[in-house]
Amino acid sequence: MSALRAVCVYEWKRSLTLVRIGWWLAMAAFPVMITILIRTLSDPQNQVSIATQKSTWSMTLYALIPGVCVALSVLLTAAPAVAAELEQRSWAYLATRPNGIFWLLLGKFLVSVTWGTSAAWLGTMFSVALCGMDEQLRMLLSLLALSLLSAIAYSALYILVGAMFPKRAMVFCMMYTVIVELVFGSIPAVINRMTIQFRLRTLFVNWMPLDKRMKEDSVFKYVMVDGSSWMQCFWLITLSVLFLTAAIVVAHRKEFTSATEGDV
Amino acid sequence: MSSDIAIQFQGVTKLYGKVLGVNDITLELPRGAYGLLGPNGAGKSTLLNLLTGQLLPTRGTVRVLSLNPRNNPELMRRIGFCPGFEGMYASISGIEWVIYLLEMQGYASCKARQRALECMELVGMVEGMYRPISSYSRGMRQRTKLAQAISHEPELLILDEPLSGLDPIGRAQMTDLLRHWIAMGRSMIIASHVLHEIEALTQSFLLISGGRVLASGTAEEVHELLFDVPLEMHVQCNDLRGFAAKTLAADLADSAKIRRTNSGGEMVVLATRHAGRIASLIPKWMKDDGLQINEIRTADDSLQSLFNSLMKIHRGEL
Repeated sequence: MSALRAVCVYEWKRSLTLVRIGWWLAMAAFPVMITILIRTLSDPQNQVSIATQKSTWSMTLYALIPGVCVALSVLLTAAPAVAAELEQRSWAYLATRPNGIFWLLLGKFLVSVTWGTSAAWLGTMFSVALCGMDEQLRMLLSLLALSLLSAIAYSALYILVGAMFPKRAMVFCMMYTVIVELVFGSIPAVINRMTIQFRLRTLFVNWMPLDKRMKEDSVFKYVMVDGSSWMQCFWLITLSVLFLTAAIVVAHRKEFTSATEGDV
Repeated sequence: MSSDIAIQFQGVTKLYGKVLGVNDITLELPRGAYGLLGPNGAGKSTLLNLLTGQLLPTRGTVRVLSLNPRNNPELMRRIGFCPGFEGMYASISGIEWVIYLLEMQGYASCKARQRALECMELVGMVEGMYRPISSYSRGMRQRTKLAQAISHEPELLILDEPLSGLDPIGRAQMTDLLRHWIAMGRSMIIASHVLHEIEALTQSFLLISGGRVLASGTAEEVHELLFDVPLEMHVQCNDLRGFAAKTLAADLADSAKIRRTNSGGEMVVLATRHAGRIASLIPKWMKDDGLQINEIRTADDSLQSLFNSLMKIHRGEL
C-alpha cells in the first residue's frame, strides 16, 4: 500500500501547481457561472410552474455538473495517465517496480476521482444555492452522489482509453464520449445500457426533484430503465472496475519502452 | 535451471515490426559482473529491456534469476535498473525521486527516507539532493539514477551507460562504488560502448553488434579471438628498416611502410594478419638483435573496428 500512497501523494502534489489549481477553479466555476447567467437572463414575468422550474433546473445542473464539469475534469487528469509517463520517459522506472504499473494506474485513478469530484462538489454547492429552488438539500445530495459516481466511472473509462491510445489519449477520449456516451447512450436500444450515461440518467430521474409528468414522458422511458438505484450504482461500479482492470491489463501487455517510441 | 545462473537467453529474437532488435541470442551467464559492449544501435538496450521484462521476445525465452521477467513482481524486488535515458520527474528533488521509487518498491515512508539518504550519500549527491532535478547537471542526474537503482539492494543490477556524462572524478567514484558492489558478491550487467569503462569494472565481456552476441569471455579470450585478424600495426623502434625486413622475411606482414609521425619521428606501418605472432617474436629480436621498441600500437584498436572484425568472423569472411 505504500506504493499506492506514494503515487497518490506525488500526483496530488503535482495537482497543486498554479496552472492545475487554475483549471480546477475553472471547472468548479463553470456550472456556477452558467447558473448565474440563467438567473440573470431569465424573464421574471415568465409564468412557469414551480414543478417545471424545478425540473428544468434539475436537468440543467445534471448536465452541467456530473456531465460537463466532471467529465472535463477527469479528462484532464485521467486521460494522460499513461502518456505523461511515456512522454517524460519515467515509465521504465515505474514499470520495473513490483506491480508498479498496477499501483501507478490505481493511484492516478484515485487522484483523478478526487480531483474531479472536489471541483464538481464545490460547483454543486454554489450552483444549488444560487438556483433558488426549494428541495435544495435533495438536489444537493443527489448531485454530490451523481458527481462522485460520474467521476469514478469516467476516470476508469479515460484511463482505459489513455492506455490503449497513449499518443492521442484526449482526442480518443473525446471521440468515445461523443460517439458512445452521447450518441449510443441516447439510442433507444439495448446498446445504451452499456454506457455510463444510461446508468447516471436513471439515477438522475430516481433521485432529483423532477415533475411527475416529465418522469412519465415517453422520451425518458426510452433512455433510462425502471430499476432500483442500487442496481444502477452496482452497474456503474461494475463498469468502472471492468474499465480499470482492462486498463491495467492493456498497460501490462503493451511494450512501452524507449526503444519503441512509436507506441508513445 | 540452476540458481547460479543469473541470466539465460534461449534462442531469443526481438523484432520491432520489420526491424531486428536482437537476433537469435542463446547464452547463459552465471552470477557475476558482465560488461555488455557494442556500438550504438547494436541491440544493447533491447537486450536490457528484455532482461527487465519491458519487452517480450518475439521468439525464444528469457529467464533472469530463474524467473520470467515479464510483469513479474518477485523479480522486480530483486533487480535494480538504471536506464540509459533520464526520465526522472524534473519538478521534484533527487532525494524525493529516490524515496518515491523506494515506496513504489514497498518500503515504508520513514524507512524509504533513511535508505534514500544513505544511497544519495553513497553516490556523492548529498549537496544537491534537495534541489529540483531540473537544475541538475548531467553527472548529478547519472548519480541520482544510480542511487535509485541500488537503493533497494537488488541481487542483480542492470545498468545502461551509467558512466556517461560524468566528469573524470565522478567516473572514478562511480567505478569504485560499482567495484565495491561487485566485491560484495552481487551480480551486475553493465552496457557501454566504451571499452575501458567496462574493463575497469570487470573482465567478463559480451560483445554485441547487429543484434547478435559476437563473442563472450574475458578480455584475454576476446583478444585471442582477434589475434590473427588483419590489422594495421604501428611500431616505433631503433631499427625501422631492419624490423620491417624481419617481418616481411618471416612472411608475417603483407606490406611494410616507413611513415613520419606527428612528433617528427618515424615509424613502420605493417599490414599484418599475424599481430599475435609478431608480438611473441619481439622479445627474441630484442634479445638477439638488440632491437629497441619505443611504441607498438594498432591503428584499428577502436571498438567499432573490433566489432567490424568480429562481424566478419561471424559471417565467415575471415
